[in-house]
Amino acid sequence: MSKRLDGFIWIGLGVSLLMALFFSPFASSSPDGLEKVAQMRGFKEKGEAWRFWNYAPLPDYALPWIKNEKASTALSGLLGTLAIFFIALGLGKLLKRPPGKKGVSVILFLLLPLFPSTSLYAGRPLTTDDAWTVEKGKFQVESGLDVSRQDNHDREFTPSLTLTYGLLERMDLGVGSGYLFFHPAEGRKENGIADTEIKLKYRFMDEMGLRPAFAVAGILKIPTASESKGLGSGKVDFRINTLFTKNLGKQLALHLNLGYAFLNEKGGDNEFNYSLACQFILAEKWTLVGEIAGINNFNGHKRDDPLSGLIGTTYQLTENLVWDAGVEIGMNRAAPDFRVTTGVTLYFKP
Amino acid sequence: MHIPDGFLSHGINGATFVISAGACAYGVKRVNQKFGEREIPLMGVTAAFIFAAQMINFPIAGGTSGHFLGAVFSSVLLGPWAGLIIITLVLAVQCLGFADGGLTALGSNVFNMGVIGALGGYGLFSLVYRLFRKSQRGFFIALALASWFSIVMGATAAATELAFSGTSPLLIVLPAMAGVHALIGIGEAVITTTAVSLILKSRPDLVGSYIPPVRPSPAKDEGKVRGHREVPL
Repeated sequence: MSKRLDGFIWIGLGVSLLMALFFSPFASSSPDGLEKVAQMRGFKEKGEAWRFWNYAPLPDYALPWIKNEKASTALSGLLGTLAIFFIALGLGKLLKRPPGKKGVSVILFLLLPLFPSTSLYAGRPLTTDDAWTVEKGKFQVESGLDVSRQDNHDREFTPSLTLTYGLLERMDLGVGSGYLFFHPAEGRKENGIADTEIKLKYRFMDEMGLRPAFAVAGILKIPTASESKGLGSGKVDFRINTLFTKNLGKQLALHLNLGYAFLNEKGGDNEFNYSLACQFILAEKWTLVGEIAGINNFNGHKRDDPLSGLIGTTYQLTENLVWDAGVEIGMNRAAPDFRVTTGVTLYFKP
Repeated sequence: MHIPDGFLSHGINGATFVISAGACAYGVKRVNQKFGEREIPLMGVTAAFIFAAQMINFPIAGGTSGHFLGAVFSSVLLGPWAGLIIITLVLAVQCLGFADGGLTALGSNVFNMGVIGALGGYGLFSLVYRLFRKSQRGFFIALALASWFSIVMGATAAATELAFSGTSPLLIVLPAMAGVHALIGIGEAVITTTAVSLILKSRPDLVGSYIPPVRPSPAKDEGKVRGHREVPL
């Protein structure tokens, strides 16, 4: 029973996705057993008279905006299979947590696709990404200052800068890095450049009706941080993140991120990361933000899987300048004890 | 076998909803007690596989099609209660996300495919497996029989609900449903045994209900003829 599961899980998921992608379009379109009986015994109309739930985003396994029927079925099958994998995983995680917390998250999750919308943008101080991309031809500069403390009282102080450019209407490219001041509880203080991340984000689906906006981001970590000083792993990592954004009314937006990181560090396990964030417009210029974020490396024990919650606020200084602040609290030992962050986000068009 | 809105009366929907919700609540408790970190991703991938497989309708006689259900499959891998939860999850996503099966009939669908299919199917499986004294051949016979019955029993339950809802007389709808699903059940049995035997070949430790036949071991363990491993849940 000691064999690791990872390989099997990814093979199983891969087989399922391939099945959904390549076999489902060629499935028989004849009525199934019950439909046939209903047809023959003359009660088929009863099932067509009304439908209680009219809000299914992909009715009859079809993406409304894809004309080709086979491609539409294949893609909706792929999305459904992925979605169900992550929902089952999330549900499993929730079941394993102490009661109390789970109610809220399950309700939030279930409410996700329920409301109509306008748009709202995520960003600092959240770590959760949104499914929106920077407008084509525009720049976005995010500068921040983080102070964090681990449970063992190691402290970190990090100014950071991220530049993002809207490449296409649906695609943006960002580069971000920082400077790390590491003050361990015992031992030498170190400082140096932090790791650099390059992120390419593409939005596949706009929010429409009840369907959330959906984007995929690929993030490449360049090991610019010094390994010998203990500021980084010294290895190139790649992370893929799926981003969902859903506006609920004019004041509230929810963002869901599900991602997977391929880590090259020796002895390190690949990681699955998840986060759920909400933004609430409190007043004209003020928003309140909150998120729950975690990482699971499926290595069998929970101790090294960080889970943390963040709450923060943003204030719109001018049309193109937003100030923010947030506090993150670690919910277990693997996450930082706490982290305080503040920064500004500037939009400009050259 | 996904019943849409409008086929069943509110009374039947309400009654099956209460039974299904109760079974699921108890199932969640059981799964919560027995599952570790390890089983959770396995549950996710089983649900994903079942969802994908359910999309693939295979043609059977007379311009009718059927598809895999996976109730016995998931129960044999992870235990009947986890099987029930997985089937419920798949049905809920199909209903809410893909308009496959009615929301008012969700309780009935969970009852037919989860309670009858997964719990009932697993009960039959373990009964037959025990009758064959847990031999390897017995495992596959039990698996095939339970898979077939899970479909036919589920269809019978659906027909009964339709009859009690006044949609169609029992004597008409029951033979029709059972007849069609007797054919679909063959497909279910073939897919389930094939999939489980593939998993058994590569990762026997993942098939929770399978007890590897123990060869009479020399010397000290003479007394124990058959190895016993706890069946999950």
